[in-house]
Amino acid sequence: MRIGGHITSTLEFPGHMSIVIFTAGCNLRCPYCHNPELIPMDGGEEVPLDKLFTQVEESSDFIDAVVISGGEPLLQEKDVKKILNHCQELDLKTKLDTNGCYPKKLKQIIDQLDYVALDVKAPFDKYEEIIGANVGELVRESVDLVYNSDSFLECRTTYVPSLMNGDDIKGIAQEISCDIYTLQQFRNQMVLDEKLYQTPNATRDELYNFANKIKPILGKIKIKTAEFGDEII
Amino acid sequence: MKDARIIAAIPTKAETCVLKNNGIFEKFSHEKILKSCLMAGAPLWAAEKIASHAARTAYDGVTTKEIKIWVHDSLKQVKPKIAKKYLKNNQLRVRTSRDTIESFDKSKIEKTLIVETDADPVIADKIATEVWKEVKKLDVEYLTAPMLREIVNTKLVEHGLETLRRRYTRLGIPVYNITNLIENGSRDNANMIHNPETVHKYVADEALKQYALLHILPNELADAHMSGDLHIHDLEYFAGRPINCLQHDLRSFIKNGLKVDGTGDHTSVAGPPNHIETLMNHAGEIMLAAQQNMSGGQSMSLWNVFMAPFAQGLPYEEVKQAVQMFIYNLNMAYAARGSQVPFTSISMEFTVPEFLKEEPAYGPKGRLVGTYDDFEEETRILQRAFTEVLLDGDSDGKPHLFPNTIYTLRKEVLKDEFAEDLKLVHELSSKYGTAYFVNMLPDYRGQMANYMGCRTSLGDNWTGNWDKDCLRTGNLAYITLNLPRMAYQSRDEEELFEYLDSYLRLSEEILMIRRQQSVACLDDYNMLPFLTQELDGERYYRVENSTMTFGFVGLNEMLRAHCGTGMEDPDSLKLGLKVIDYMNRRAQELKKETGLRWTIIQTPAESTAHRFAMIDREKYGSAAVTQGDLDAYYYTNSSHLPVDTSLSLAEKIRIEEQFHSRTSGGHIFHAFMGESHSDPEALMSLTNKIARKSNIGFWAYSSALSFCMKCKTLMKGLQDTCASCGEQKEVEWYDRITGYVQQVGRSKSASGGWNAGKMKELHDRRRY
Repeated sequence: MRIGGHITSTLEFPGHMSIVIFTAGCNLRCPYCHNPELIPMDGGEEVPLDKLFTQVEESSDFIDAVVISGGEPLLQEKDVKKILNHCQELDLKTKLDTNGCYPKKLKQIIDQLDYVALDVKAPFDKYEEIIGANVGELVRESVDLVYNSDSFLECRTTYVPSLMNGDDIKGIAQEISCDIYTLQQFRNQMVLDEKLYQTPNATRDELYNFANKIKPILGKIKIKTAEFGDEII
Repeated sequence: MKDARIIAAIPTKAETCVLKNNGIFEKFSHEKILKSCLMAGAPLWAAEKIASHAARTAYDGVTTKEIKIWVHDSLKQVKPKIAKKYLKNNQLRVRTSRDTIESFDKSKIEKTLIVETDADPVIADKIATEVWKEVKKLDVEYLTAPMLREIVNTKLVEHGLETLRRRYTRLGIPVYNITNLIENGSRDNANMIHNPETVHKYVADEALKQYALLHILPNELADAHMSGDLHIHDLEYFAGRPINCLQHDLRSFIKNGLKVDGTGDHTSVAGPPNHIETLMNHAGEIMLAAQQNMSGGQSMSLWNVFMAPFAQGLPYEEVKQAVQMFIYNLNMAYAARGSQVPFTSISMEFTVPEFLKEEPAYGPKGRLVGTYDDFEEETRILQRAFTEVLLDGDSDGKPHLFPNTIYTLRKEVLKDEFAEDLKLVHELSSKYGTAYFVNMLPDYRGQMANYMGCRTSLGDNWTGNWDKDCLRTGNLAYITLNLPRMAYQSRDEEELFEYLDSYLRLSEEILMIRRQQSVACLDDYNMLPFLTQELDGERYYRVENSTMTFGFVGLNEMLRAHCGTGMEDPDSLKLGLKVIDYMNRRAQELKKETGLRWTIIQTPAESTAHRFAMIDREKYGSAAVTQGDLDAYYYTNSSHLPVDTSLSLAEKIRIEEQFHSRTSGGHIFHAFMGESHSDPEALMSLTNKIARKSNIGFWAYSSALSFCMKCKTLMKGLQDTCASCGEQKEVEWYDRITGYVQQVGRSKSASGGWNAGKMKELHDRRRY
C-alpha cells in the first residue's frame, strides 16, 4: 500500500486515541489542499501491509482506533478493506476520511466502519466552480449511504474565504444530513494553488457566525481552528 | 574661623599649573599647601611662609611629588616631628572595604595574612614587605583594598603559595557583569524575572558560587564541574543552602501549629488551625518558610487527604473558595530567592488510599477526629475543587503555573466510579497541559511514591515505612554526569565504563562534601531553623532519609557517539540500559558502604543540557554529537528520546518506560503527541492505557499555549499572531520547559524566560 506516513492522535477520532494512516494518491486537486504531497499516486512510499499491521499492533496497547485518511483512501480500497479486517481482529474502532467520490466502494466497507468523516467541499451543484471537479452527485450519494448506515457520519467543509461565502455554507447545510457537521479553518501556510497564499486565513469568528446560522438546520456543529482547537457550537 | 579668613585673603599665583599623579593638570593652589601644613601641626606663620615659597618656586608643569618634597624639607627645618606627620598625612591611602580611607600600613597585610590564611609570621612579613615595595613603585596616591589584595595574591603565587592564595583571595563579580545584569537580566532560570531582587540574587550567587568552587571543593572536583565532565547543581547554594527539596507532612502543622521562623522568636506563633481557611493559609506559609532554608522545591503529598477533616460539613462553594485562596496565594507569593514565585507542588489522591484508611486523622485544633477512612467524601471534594479552580485559570484566563499539580493513579481509581473526576483532570491537561500523573500500578511500586513538578521522587522502598521514606525529607542534592563526553573519550565499551566509573566517583565525593556541609548547616551553624525545629518529638527534617542522587544528560547522544545509532536502535538501547544499571549498582554499593540513601534521577536539565553541549562543541568540534545548531546546541535530556524523534507514541513509551524503574530518584515521560492541542476524552483513554499497560511511573501531557498580552486571548499551539486582535509582538508562549510549564519569553515585553538551548529545543519539538 502506498502511504504517506502515520501519526498518533487524540483528535482524529474524537474521544479516542487513534493511529492515523495517511494513504497516498488523490483523484481531486482542491486548490486549498493542505496535504499536496499526498496527491500523486506515487507519493509517499510503498509499505507492505504486514509492516503496517505490525505498526498498528505495536501501538495497540495505547490506541482505541485506527483512522484511514489521505489522500483518498478509497483509491486503494482493497488494502483499506484488509486494514479494516485486521482492526476487527484487534478489536480496534475504525474511521475513514474520504472525499465521497466513491460511493460504490464505500458501500463495500461501510459495515466495517464505526465513523466516517466525509468532505462536503461545496454545495453539490457548485463542486465544478469551487474545486474544479464535477463530483457533487457522487458525494451526495456517499452522504446518504453513510447517514443511512450504522456508522457515525461527520460531514466537513473547509471554509476558504476567496472561494466561497456564507451562502455556500448555508447551501451545503440544507443539502445534507449528518451526525455532526464540522467547519474547518482554511490556513494559507500550505496550499496546492499558489494564488491562495494571498487569501487570508479564515477566522474563528467567521466560522462561529456561520455555525450559529446553520445550527437550526443541522443541530450539532463543530468549528475547528488552529488557535482555539475544536469547539462544539 | 579666623584662620580660614586669613587663608582666604592670601593671594595665590593662579597661572601656574600642577601635574598631578593621575596625569591631570590642576591650578596651583596656595591654599592647599597652607592647609596641609596646618593639618600637620605647623604654626600659621610657618605654613604661610612655606606656601608662599612654594608659590614663588612653582613653574608650569611642576609635579605634586616635587611640591611634596619641598614642603617636607621646609617643615623638617621647622620641626622634624611636624614633617613626619606631614609625610604620614600625604602618603599612600587605601580605600578599605569598611568604607574608610586609611593610610597604607604594611603591618595590616601581615596581620591579615596570618589570621586569614594561617601563614607563618616570617612569610607574612616577607610578603608584606614585597608588596610595600611594589606599591611604592606604582606612584599612585591611593589604592583600593581589592587592588592591594590582588597584589598580595600575585606575590603569593610568585612564591608558590597557592594554598594561601586560595584562602586569601577575594570573590566577586566584574563591573561589566553587574552592569549587564542590571540592564539586561539573566535567563539561567525560567522562573525568574528581571527585577532588583534577581539582580541581588545573581551578584550574591556569583560570589557564593566562586566560594564553593574555590573554598569548599578540592581543585579536582571543582575542575570536573568547570570543564563540564559533570554538573554540580545550585553551586551558589552549596555552602549556605545545601539542601535541595522537601516533601512536607501537613499533619505535623495541623497538630502543632506553625512557627514560620522555626523558633517562634521573630514571628508570631500560630496554634493548631481551627478553620479550613487558616489551614490553607498555613499550608502556603509552610512552603514559603521552608524554602527560605532550602535551595529547591517544596511539596505536599496526600494533600487533600490530610486537608479533608477540615472540609467536613462545609458546603462545596466554601471549600472551593478556600482552595482558590490557596492557589492564588501560591502564585502571588513573590517571595522566593530572587523574587521568584516559590516552586511548589501539590500531590492529590482521587480517593483515600488503602494504607491511610486506618491512620488517625487530625482535624480542627489538631484534635484526633477519627481515621482518614471517615473523610473519603471530603478527600474527593477537595480534589474536584482544586481541579476546577485550576481549570478556571487566572483572571486573565492564563494558566496558574503553580503549584505543579500531581494526580496519583491507583488501581482502585481506574474505575467508572471515578470517571467524572478523571475527566475533569484531563480537561485541565487538554486546556493548559499542567497536570501530572503518578502511576502506582507497576510492579516496582510500593504503597506510596511522591513526586515534585521537577520530577524528583521518593518511594517507600528505603526503610519500608511510607511516612519515614516519603515525608519530612527529600532530595538532598544531585550531580549530573555528561554522558556523551564519556563516549567521545572512549575507544571501546570497556573504556566507556571506566569513564563512567571515574565520573561516578567524582560525583560521590562531591555529594559527600555537600552532605557534610548540610549536616554542619543543620547541626553546627544553626542556620536552618525551620528544618531543625522539633515536631512530634523529632526534628522536622529527616536528613537521615534524604537522597543523594546521580543524574545524567544525553544518553541518546552518548549512544550515537559510541554505537552510531541512538536509543531507537534496540542494540544501542541495550547499552543505554547497561549504563544506567551500572549507575544503579554503584548506588546500591554506596548504600551498603555509607548507610545513606543513594538514587538515580533523570536530571531535569534546564540549563545543563545546553551547557554541556556548548562546552563539548567547543572542546570536540564536530566530533561532538549534539542537537540544535550553531545558535544553540543542546543535548537530549536524560534518557529521553530526542524531541524530534519520528517514533510513534507507543514506540516512545516502550523505550522510555524501561528507564522509569531504573531511576527511582525521579523521571518523567513527556506524552507529547505532536498535536498543538488534544481531546480530553482521548487523553483520558490514553492515561488509562499508560497506567495499566506500561511501566511509565510519572508523566504529563504537554500542551503549547499562546497568550495575547494585549487583548488577553488564550490560544492553542505556538502562534505568532493573535487570532483576536492581530497583535504580533505581545503574544507570549507557554510550554513545559523540562518539568514544569513556564513562560517562554517570546513577547516583546517579556521579562525572563527560557535559555537559548531550551528555546531551540522548543522549536525542534515535533508537532503537526
